[in-house]
Amino acid sequence: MEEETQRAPLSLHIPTPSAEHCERLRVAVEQAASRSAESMEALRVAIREFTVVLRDEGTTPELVLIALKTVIYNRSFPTIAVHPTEWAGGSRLHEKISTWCIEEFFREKTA
Amino acid sequence: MKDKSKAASGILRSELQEVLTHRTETAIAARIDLRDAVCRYVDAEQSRGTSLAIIIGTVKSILAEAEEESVHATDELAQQLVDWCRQFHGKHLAMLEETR
Repeated sequence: MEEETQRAPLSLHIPTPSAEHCERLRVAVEQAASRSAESMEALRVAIREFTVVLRDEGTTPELVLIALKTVIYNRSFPTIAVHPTEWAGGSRLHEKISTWCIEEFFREKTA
Repeated sequence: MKDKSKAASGILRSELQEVLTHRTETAIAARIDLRDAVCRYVDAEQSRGTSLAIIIGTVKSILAEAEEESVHATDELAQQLVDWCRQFHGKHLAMLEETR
């Protein structure tokens, strides 16, 4: 006689992360945030310099923006395409780049 | 003389383009690393039962500290991080619902 025993469904035990593990992850976020802030600042400086050079050559703001987007989008933004969740962030980055360019173009020259 | 200045201008523009491209790629890579770090952190804290509000507050304070060392703080990144936290929290909740 076979004993049919009701077996409880298997429950997959996923251990709860320890406080120490969460702390390490928090530190990792700190470090990543610091690198991201630094790289964005470096990018902003590069965009400003690019804008100033073209502006001082007599290029109109529209053409400066087009030149900027041509340089950045053609070579760099395909990187974002492989991360679909990045699209929302990517559009914000696009907007920020355009804003930096226009702000710098119309910034009054200081002596 | 004009040709020389044109050539110099062309070289300068070319160098600026290279720097711009390199820094854009670096910034994108750093942003992706940050996104992944936030994802891992949010996932771990959620597993411990930490509320989304607390997680978001912690992530925003981390950003504020990082941007104190930077010359220009941006609201854009703070909003991005909040959106990521909400996105990952939503995914986590959906997964928990499916396993019930």
